[in-house]
Amino acid sequence: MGESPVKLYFEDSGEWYSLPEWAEYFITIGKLLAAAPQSESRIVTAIVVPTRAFGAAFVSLGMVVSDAASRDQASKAAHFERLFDLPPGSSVIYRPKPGKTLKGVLQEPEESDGKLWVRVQVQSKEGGGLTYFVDESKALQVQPARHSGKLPKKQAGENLRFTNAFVDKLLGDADPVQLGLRSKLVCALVGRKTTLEHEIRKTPLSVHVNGDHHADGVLQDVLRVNRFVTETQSHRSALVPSGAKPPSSEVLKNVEMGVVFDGANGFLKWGEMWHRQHQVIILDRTEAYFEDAISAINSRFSQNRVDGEIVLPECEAPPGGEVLTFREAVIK
Amino acid sequence: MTPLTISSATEVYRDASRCEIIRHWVDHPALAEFSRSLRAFVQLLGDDADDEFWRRSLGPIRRLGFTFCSAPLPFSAAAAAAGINWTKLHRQVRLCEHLFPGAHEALAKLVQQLEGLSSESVSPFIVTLEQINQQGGEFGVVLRNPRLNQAVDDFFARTENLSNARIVSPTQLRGGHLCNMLAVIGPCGWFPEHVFSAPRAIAVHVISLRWIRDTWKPGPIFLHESDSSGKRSRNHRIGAMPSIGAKTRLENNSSTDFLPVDLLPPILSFGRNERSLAGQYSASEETVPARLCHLSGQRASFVAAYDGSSTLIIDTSETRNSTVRRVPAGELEPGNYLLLRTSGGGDFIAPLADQIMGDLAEKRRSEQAEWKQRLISTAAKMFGSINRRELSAHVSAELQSRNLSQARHANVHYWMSSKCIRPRKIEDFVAILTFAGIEERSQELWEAMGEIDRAHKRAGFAIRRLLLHRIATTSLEPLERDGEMVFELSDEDGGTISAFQITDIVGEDYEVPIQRIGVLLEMED
Repeated sequence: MGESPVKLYFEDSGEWYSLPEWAEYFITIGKLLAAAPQSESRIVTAIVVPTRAFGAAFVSLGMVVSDAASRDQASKAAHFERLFDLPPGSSVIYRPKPGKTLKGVLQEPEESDGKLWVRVQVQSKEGGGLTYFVDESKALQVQPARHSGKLPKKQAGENLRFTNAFVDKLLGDADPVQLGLRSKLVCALVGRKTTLEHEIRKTPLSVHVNGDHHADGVLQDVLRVNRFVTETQSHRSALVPSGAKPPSSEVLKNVEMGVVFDGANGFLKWGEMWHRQHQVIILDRTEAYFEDAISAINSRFSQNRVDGEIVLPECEAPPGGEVLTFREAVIK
Repeated sequence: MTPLTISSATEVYRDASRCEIIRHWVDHPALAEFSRSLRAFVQLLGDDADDEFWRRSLGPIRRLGFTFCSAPLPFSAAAAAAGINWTKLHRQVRLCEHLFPGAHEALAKLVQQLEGLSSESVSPFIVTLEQINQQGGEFGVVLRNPRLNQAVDDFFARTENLSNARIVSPTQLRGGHLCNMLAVIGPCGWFPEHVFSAPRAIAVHVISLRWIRDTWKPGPIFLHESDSSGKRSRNHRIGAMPSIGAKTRLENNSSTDFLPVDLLPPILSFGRNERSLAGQYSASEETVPARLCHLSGQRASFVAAYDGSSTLIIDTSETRNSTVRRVPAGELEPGNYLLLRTSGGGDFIAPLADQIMGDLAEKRRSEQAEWKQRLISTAAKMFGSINRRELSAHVSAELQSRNLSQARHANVHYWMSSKCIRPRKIEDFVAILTFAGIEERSQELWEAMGEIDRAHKRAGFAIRRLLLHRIATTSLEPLERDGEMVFELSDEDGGTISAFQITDIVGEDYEVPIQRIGVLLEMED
């Protein structure tokens, strides 16, 4: 995704095909919004399409992927400092390379050759006590974890809980959220639960690297929608069903980047409740409240629009589609 | 409806980018003359056309005229499908001679023209449909009036050149790619815009009478900043849209004198006459808050909208057990299917609950009626003969002042209604029976009402389970195509239940006599 040779494929009748342009369009919208500032104003992007199937799921994918990629050098430095502050004996996991995950225990950090090192022991004393030295550039490969701290003699590194090649390829190999260690809400999806569940949990995808089939997965592996994870798993996005109950205050408050409305119904019900996050509204020309939602968006465009940087993919809108984007002032 | 896959969604996008909308104009001079005469006559009547006599006289005339203009059926078959009662119509003409002699000749001529058309064994649409169908491929036809779907489908089945054509509905055109070619009978304005702007076919043929104006074309729907420099807008983009066939665009400029709405049979208008649909009722009659749902085929029904009420629906966008479920009025959506008793109207749970209670039913129902009657009569004695809503407000205040219950007047109003079996909390039940002077029977009646409550729950569960079983073993295509379907349950299980697609829901609630809830209403004149 981030690196160009990595491409998402979908399955049809036993064959794998690269994602169609319309799907890539939605992913790009999510990525562009993720990179757009939202201090004084936020971006509202309304996308009209002949079918809204998978639109919200792919926009969210773009946001989550972009969020993971935005971990920069500063966050590495901060993370390294945090590791330094942890007491020796703290449980961690260490990912020396993609696909390999080792349980570890922090040892006293060391200074050597004018450089600081965090030390991670991954074998018991009986096994030889193998210890890795990790510098700041690889700090994100070490993450605090909840495990007993008891180390085996040997580790193959195929810990299913922490290893997912599909996610590694899409998000990078040291993302704390996908490792199941920390929850956050990059985005919220507002829509019909059954439909979104079909798209996010039940639609097989695969990652191809340089044209070769690499790993299978589903969007849920990356999106980690709160309603579809187990109690012990971390989440990264929230699902707000467009039913009778409004979104919880926790979801309203904690969504960091954007809210993606899958259809007119949720947008008309809850569209005014998020005040600072970017909004993407995906409207299906065939749905019941389509006209009402168009009126609501046109009204916001004419009344709330403010100047500021806006972002749209260079390409045209998807076939049968129409896209409008504008900035509106953030309510603080 | 099966959720779309990435492949099927891709096909929808492909349809949108390559679809061509091709207009075909057809003629029928006698039908044109009849339509113009009818319009002139209605214009002459002016506001009088809304009077009862003219509604009764013109309703069937307009309906049949519209059927000729909108259904690919030989006119004789269309007249039969429309179910026109000629005897009644002739009687109206005779009555007119006495009541409105000045209008008699024009009305008689209209009926005569209509009878002449009804004897024809042709329709201007059929030849064009046959020509399109010769191109081969899957062919779907969309009609404006879903109540004619079955008749047209039967006609296609017995017509050699159209036997592979099938009727589809705008609802079905919300799913994945459906067919190679679609034909709609009538101008674009008679159909939801998505049929043309989000087509589920490679070609959409619009077959319409030449004298009906049809100017629809795809265009932007969002407001946006236009860029005077001619560069493309920074904040607005439009993708490839279905194209209008070049040849037919030119023909569209030919002179037309009817707007699409001119031919539609009038229906009781949205937002104006709902109160008349609620029926006339006296101040003492039991009413409940209700919401009006407009249903497929120009019908409507009120659903209960009081606290705790819910309505049984089919939701084809859901899967497994969620397909049939009870939802509060506030959660109903257009596209859901409302379940109503096929005949007789009203609640279908209570009769089945009575069957479940067997011999005890009569006694329990009489006890249910008794405590309500005592509550209402005590209140009326204390506060006078006022309407039920005011009465309940007084009772609520009285219960609160006597520290018996903190119940709101809306609760008391519901407890007084025949729909309510018993309050949710026993403390409230004891409070209202204390107010009604039968406190000593609280426990006995609470238990008796519990039996009714359990029977209702069992009945609801049984009906839902039977419907789920029917749905699992029956194709729902007729439901999605025609917007209605009858589900046969056994007599012991509630007889037959009909599902009707909700096309619109009126935003505000109305006070409606309780017996009007769940009754199917005809909206067409």
